[in-house]
Amino acid sequence: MTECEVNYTCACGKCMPLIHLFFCKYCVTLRCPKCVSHEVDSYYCPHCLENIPSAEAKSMKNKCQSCLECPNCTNILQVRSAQVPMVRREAGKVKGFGQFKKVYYLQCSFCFWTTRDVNQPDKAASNGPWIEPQVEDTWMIGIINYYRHLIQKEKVEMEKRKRQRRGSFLGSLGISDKLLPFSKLARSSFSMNLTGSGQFDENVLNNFTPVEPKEETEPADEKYYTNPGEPYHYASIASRINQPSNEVYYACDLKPNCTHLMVKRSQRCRECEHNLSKPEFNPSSIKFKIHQIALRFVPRFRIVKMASLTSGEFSKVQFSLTNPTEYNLPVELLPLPDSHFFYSKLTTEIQLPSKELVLAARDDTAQYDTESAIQDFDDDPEIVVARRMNKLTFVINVKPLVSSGDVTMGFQLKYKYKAMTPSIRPEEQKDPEDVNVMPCVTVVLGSI
Amino acid sequence: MNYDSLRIAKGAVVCAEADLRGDVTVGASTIIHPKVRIFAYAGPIVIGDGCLIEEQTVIINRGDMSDEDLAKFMKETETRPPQTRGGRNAPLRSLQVQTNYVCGKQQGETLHIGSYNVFEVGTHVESLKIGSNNVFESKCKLGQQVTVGDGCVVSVFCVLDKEDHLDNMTVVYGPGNQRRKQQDKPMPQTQQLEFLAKVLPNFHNLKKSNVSPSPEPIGKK
Repeated sequence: MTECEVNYTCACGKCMPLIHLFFCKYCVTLRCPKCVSHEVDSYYCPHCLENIPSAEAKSMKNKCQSCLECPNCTNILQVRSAQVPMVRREAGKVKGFGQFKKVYYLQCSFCFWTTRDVNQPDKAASNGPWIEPQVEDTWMIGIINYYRHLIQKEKVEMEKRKRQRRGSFLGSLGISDKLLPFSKLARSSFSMNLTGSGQFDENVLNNFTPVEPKEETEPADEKYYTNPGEPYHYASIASRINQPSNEVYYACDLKPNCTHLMVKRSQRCRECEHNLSKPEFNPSSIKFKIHQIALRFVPRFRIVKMASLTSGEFSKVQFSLTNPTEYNLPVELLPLPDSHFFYSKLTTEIQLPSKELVLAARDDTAQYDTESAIQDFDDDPEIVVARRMNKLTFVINVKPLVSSGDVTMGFQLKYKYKAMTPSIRPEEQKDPEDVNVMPCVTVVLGSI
Repeated sequence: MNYDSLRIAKGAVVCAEADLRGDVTVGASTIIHPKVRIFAYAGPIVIGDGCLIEEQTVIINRGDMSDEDLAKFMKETETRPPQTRGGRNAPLRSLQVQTNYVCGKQQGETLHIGSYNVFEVGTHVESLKIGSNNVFESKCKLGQQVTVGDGCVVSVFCVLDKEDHLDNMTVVYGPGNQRRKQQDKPMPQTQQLEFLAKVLPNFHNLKKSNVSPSPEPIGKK
């Protein structure tokens, strides 16, 4: 049995549930997450909710230095305290125990991993330091350095090729190289600096020795074939992947991980370049400054009650439409245009309501009203089943044309969107203009 | 005639609203919260000293009780007050267990729970052998075929229903019941026990203790 789903068609042709889509007020179309450009607004730590500037985030390798994760289950580690007796020593020998001392260690409250498990010494202060500053491997530094120079070299070469194709860069500005009062070398470096390319050292590139592949590897120790081994002694694959730089093999070598930073993204329409969604800057806020998700602009179509479907027979399936706007919304259901890609996949014949359905306006206070003003919408009792606030339940007759397989249907919604044209002067503010919006809806009703 | 042979050691705090049925022995300074269901259906249940059993925990010596019967019993005891006005256990309609038990028709294996275990809210335990110093976190479930050693932790919502043995110091956690060995035992909840022993009698009626604490810890064989 396949799951029932209702998808809306984006302007690019992709089908998606309404909750994933955006609605561009200016183009008056639906936009899917692939049709919008995503921009990084800010970096923040998901645990301490501290905002981190992008330059700092880059230098910290996109990790928060103050929040630590359990290497086993990636939950946040918590500081625990313990009382430990101070050991009195005389000439290297234990001579008894003195007063109690408070020490701190980290513990995962979920899988009970502690820094004591890996023999990390307890700290005297609750704020650590829990991780030692990592000393970069010279081998790793060599590789990074090599790539840095390689990038520069490629940049310069690309620049050269461009110049050869278009003539010189300065030539394109209308200045000839020869007119500049420099030596040839100075001239080339001058134009190179202009194009933003740095220097690279040929020696670094030549002296770099890549790792040699070996023909044969060392034979594995005999004990791996004979001893059953203790599975708890080895680090799991997941926790090893979490610490690639550490190359852990045994569970006792695991170290706390730093928490990865997260980003707040804003979305922008690629066509008209208006912002579709912009979260508030503060990392602890879940509100949006601009929030044009489709759920707030497009009537939501949902399956309410399924009927048992038999091939070749009409059965009544109940659906609902919810109006997110603050005005009464007449909606028409039209057959799916045959240019739509889903048209060939339709396996049902449906009888859409011939009259237009009027959805009541959304009113957040309606449910608290003692006496609700019942509006008369002159509904056809054959089609409309129920009406509650801004939600309308109605019936579509569905006749599956296949004897087995997925039952699919599709149609086009047609409603008027009141487009506001923003104006600086209030006296020039025009009345909202009605624009027809016709999103296509595809529905999978399960299989028979 | 009382249906049950309930033995509560001195110092134990057993709330009257807890539903204890059958041959149940509770060790000294064990705390049993209201709405706990301990049900010795197929055999006696012995709980050691210093255990902390929180609300909505179910401990049942299930024997050959079918899943259907168990579900029926759970449903009935969930909403039913455990005692009648006379202080007796309210009779259960869904099962003939009490009569069975009183007649001594079923004398199965004993369910042993050691000392200083913590059963957090909503734990379901059918396991017949549990050691000491274990922590069973909220909503975890131990089946009949599971035996538990000492110092183990079964994390939130972990379901162990296959035949299994938890070695000493095992931690079961996560959605895939991942396992790990820990180095130290979980901390004993002595402070919490002392606090509850002081506070609970202020707000709840208690079942009277009727056995003086034995020199040997009850949980040990």
